[in-house]
Amino acid sequence: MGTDMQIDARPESGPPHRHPIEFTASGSEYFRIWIVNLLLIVVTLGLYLPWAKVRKLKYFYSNTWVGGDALDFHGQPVKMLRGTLIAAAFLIVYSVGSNFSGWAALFAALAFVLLWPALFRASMRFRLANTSWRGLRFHFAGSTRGAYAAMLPPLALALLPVALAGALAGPTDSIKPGTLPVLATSLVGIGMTIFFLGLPYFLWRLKRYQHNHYAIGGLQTRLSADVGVLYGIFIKLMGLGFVAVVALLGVVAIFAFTGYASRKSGGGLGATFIILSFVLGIGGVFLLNVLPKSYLQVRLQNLLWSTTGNDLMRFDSQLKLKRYLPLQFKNYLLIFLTLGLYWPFAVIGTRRAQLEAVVLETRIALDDITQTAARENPTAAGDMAADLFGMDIGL
Amino acid sequence: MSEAPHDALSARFFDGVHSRPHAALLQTRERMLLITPTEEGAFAPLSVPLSAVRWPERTRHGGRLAQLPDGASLQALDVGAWDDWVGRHHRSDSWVVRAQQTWRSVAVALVLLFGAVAAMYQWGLPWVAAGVTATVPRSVDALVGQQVLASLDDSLLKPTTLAPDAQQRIRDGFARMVQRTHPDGAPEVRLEFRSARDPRFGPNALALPGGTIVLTDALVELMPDDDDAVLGVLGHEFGHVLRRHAMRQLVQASAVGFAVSIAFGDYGTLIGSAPVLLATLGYSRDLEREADAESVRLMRASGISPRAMATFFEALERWRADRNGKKGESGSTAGDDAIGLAFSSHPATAQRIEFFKNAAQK
Repeated sequence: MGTDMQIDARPESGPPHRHPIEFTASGSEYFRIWIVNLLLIVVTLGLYLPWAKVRKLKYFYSNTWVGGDALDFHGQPVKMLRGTLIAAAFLIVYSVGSNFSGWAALFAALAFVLLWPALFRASMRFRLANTSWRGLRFHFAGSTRGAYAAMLPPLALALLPVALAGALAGPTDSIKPGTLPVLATSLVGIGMTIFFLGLPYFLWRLKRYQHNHYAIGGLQTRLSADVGVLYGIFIKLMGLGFVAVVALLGVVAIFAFTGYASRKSGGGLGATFIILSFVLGIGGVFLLNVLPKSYLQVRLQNLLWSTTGNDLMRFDSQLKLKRYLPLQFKNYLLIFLTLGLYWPFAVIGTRRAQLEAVVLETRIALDDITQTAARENPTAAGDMAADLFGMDIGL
Repeated sequence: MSEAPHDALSARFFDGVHSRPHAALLQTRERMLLITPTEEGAFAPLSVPLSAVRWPERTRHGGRLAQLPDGASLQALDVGAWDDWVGRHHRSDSWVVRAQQTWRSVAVALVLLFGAVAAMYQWGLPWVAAGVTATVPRSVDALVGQQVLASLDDSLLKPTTLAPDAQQRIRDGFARMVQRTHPDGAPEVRLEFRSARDPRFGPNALALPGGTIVLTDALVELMPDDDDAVLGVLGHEFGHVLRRHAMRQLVQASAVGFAVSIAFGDYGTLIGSAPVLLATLGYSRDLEREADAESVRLMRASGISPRAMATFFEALERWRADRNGKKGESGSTAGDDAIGLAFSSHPATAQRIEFFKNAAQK
């Protein structure tokens, strides 16, 4: 696959053509699709899941326009049903198993670590092979070995020490506290330290694995981002987190003081108290969750997509934090106030902001790309597994 | 360029190998879709059975792209004209698509969805949880129970100070009671006496997964010289063990969390915790009633009047009132103990007293 990398188009000289990406989906329409899908999923006890997923993806894709043409999704729900069942069985065994005993949890963690990279690659291949633009299928060229090289170390570091410690510290016949937990705690401590220090590096490895292997026709992308920039982003993120915590503590102090003062003056505490705790709760979520998450999403998207491409086509991403942050804040607030019903609007709004910040730059005419890789039909199990484990592979 | 035939639709054709679009005309003839190039020789005309084409669903926004069997595809130039043409020549929308079009049908779907979720919650989930629990071997319950007890011993409990002969008396009474109700054998139950580190934990009893029942000293001492009440409480906890309620709760909470994460995807963590909590609390009331019924069975089989339990609850209420009185704070009601673990999620005490009094009269 993809061995034949010649491109029958000649690069043009002069400035590249710029093709903005457009997203035309609407929140209210997605809301209607979502409600009907949910009803069918509930009524069929989950068997409708693949059909719902295909409908959702087709809606998102047919509203994503690149160079005047929309994307399309080709996955067959019937085939994905088998994948759903496999993935669900795996998830149930994993989550139930990890509840039971230390050793079962260790075994579940081990199985997860060993299987996840292969499942992840399968899901990338499935998603891209079933995505088309202008009649051409995309293609994910990453190897299994590459997936394991990128994902095995961080997964093992994050999961195995905890699971192992749980197994060691679990109830044994002899209750002799002190000896085992010390070993277990230090094991977790060391694992976690290496994991967090290496996090930007691991993320860079993972993103490089993904972005180095996207392909359409004979055009495969490469990621030229440097790992140092990622460390810079994470250091700023930690600084941001620190400032957020200090700010929150300050607000809590003011809150406590006003509460104390108004209690002293004997005034009605009830309504003010409720309003203040509401404001404080929202502020806390904003400072500790929405702000750092949005910062990371914006910086990562801009860095990764602006450095993805090849000589003939590349992307440019200019997502603006000062517009993205208020959007996310509004989303969280409205999801909370509507008890979740605003969710589809939030998803569409977020996706629009992310996609419309990206521009495709080409040095060839969009008419001149040719399918070179053989069509393949990867299994749907990976895609559903990725979905059930909460990973959505955005474009 | 040929003249556009009557009732043909203009569209763009992609051959699946090149990204270059070609102008095409679509016509139908005897359940076949004919695709002819507008420009002579741009591509070879082809005809495909209409049923082999994967037509897109109608939506208000977005493009229309039909997938042909061999990898080629058609894309609409004018979405309105496309929908119109497909509707006239090939097929009408499925009811799912029609339901998505109007707010009225979506409102109906929303009502049905709430109804379906309520029904699942009321009947589906307990049924599934009971089924799943039945497939989990009891040895697994025992493992979980051991872990829970170990962590309770670390945090909330310390060794008992009850006299060994008092412990033995209760053990024997309980064993006799179970033996009489279930002569053909019952799940194995292990009785553990513990004292609470925090006095607010008070008179309490817990049934852990795997058949371990924890009894606090305060519960035994609440009504000295009256083992009947203690045995009634043990009967209630035995009901939990018999029906594997602890395991069912665990399975149900996981199932609800799973469902919420499917419905809300990436925002799931934010919305997820409330339904799980609600589901757990709501179900536990039903489970308590089941356990109370079992308690009555056990007491009757041993000739103990269920009234003992009513007396026990009255004593418990007095204990709570006493404690709240000692705190000296006004306004706090009986139910607001910080660690009311086993009793916080129970049906109202008055209701339960009524239940046991009625049982005593039958």
